Amino acid sequence: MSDIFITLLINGVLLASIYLLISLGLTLVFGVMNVINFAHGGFIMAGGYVTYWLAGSFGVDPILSLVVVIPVVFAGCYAIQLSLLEKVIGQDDLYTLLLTFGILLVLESVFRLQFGTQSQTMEYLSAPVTFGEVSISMTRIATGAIGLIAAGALFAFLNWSRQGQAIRATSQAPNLAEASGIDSRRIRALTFGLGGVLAGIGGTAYFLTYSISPVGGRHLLLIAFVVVVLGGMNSLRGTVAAAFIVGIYQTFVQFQFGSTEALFTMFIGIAVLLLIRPHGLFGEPEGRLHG
Amino acid sequence: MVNDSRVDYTSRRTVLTAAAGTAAVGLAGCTGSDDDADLTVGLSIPLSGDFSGNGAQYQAAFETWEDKIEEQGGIDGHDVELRYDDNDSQEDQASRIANQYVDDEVDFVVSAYSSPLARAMAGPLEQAGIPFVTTGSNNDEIHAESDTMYMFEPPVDRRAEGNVLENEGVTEVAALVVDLGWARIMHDRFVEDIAPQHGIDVVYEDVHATDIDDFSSFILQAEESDADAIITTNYPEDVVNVLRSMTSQGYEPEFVSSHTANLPSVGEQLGDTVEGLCVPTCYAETFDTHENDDFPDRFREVRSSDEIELDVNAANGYGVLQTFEQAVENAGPDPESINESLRNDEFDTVIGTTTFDDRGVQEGFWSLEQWHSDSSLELVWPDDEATGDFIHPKPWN
Repeated sequence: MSDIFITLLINGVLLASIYLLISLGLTLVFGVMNVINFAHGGFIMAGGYVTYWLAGSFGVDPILSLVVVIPVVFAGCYAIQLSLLEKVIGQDDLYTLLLTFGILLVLESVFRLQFGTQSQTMEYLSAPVTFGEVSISMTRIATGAIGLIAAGALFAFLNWSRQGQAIRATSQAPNLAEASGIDSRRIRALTFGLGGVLAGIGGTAYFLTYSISPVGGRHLLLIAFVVVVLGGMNSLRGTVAAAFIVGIYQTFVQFQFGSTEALFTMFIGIAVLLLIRPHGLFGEPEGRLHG
Repeated sequence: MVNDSRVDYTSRRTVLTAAAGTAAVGLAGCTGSDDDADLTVGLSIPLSGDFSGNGAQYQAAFETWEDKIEEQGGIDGHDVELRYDDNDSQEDQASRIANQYVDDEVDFVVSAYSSPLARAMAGPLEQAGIPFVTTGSNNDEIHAESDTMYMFEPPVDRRAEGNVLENEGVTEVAALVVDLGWARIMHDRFVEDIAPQHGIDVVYEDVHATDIDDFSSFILQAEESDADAIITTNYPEDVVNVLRSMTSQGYEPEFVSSHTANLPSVGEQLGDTVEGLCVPTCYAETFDTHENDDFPDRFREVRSSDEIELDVNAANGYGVLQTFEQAVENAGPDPESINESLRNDEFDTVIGTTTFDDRGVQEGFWSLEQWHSDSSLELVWPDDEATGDFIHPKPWN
């Protein structure tokens, strides 16, 4: 294989790991709560801005800032679910769409007021690591590692912890889960908190390599929607596969044909796929969901 | 379970609701006119929304001119009222502001920053015959049809880069442009006109979407194409990401220039990497131009925050009102006379002597600044205005 091919493949995998982080939370919340969460873009930027603030004001290492990002975003999302979203769960989908979109606008305004409108970046581990003729930045490697570790931790939590099993049970058969004594209200709050944590970690990982801005979450939200729809709206494994497909596809097509063409063909491809397979690559047809 | 058609429907509803709310908030920023003033100038500025950082610079520049005019007792004895209207960085709001100006019969209108915002105001102002000057809007093609619309700043064609690259013997360039009208016009002028004139071969070019942060593929292609220089036409955050990507991939071209890299935030975020980065400009504090001995100090006294920087945007904002002032002095205070003067006269401003061509576009060219090791910006081209030595090749610390 040529050096260029290997470089592109590594870049694609590392980009995919960020897409994976920002998409898993969206899939989780949709799978359990049936909510399309527009606020997710704001939670991504919240993670990035907490890291920016800690690094800029207190000199905290950006990766260590996750120790603060995780509980802060979790607590915020848990509270939002209990105090706001819980009131509209089960009602018309328009209510949850409007509410989460409103939360996104509020978060963007808070970021603007606190950090200004300009994009923020930081210099972190920017030196390249060279393997033969292939150069990869340490930042990208760190970002990829965060993505893969966080995704692994999520799957371990869902498979091996009681809380995780309760989340899966609620996702697969909510009525049955509630009848079995699972507190669905608490599980929804836990799920929304976990979704926020994944977004927040994604924001920190994104900030290590790229720039964050008050409205930067919107673009990432769009990418996350593409990944989630491609994978199948409530399939975590589908989300993993789709994140890698999108990240690697975007990197290779961008290199060969340009960035505009990469996005254009990706969106066209998603549209065509949905015509052929409306439940995505790994999702199940609507009739078979939720028992 | 939400089906696909429902998602589309609710998304449209959501967007419409948000748009209506935004419009309502924006309208609240409009102010009425002061009937006591002899002359009323309408200033449409993005004081909120995506461009509010730039808007604050223009507002401070306008306030600086207002401070000077109050001190000198108006223009030829005429009182002047400036109306600061927030367009919320939204075209529909800019259009509403334009219609309000027509209803209120203002004498002169300025649109500060963004070609789409300027274009949204052009129709009603043209019909009413109100002289309308845009600044910070780089798309000069929107001026072709108008008799009362002017663009205050010369079109950017990257001739400065063409000259310095030819002088240094650099012949292979990769060019990157954001997919926006103003940027593509500048990019195309460089690729189609300036580069061939200076013996430069554009070995790779890419148009990127506005939301792209990952430029690693462009950098790889530029490196594979053996480009010795990179010219970008995009936003400051893109510049930062492009240079970071170069550093992380170990690609060190001799020359990098970016149209918007003059913001202090670019220097702060790039640290030592910023040294040698070039940026076109049409203003420097060192210019020996009309009132430029007073403007920087007055600007810093008037501005509300240290975060509002004096740069080319602020200078253009001040310069456009200097032009208005001299047009009134030359021809009188009514809109028709002001327009006549703008068409025919020469104006002395902080960015230099200003004239407008047949389309109403300012004639002239942009100089070239370069970041130096102490994070200062020095003028390096043209040679007779240079304040510092041109650093070549670009250092990669």
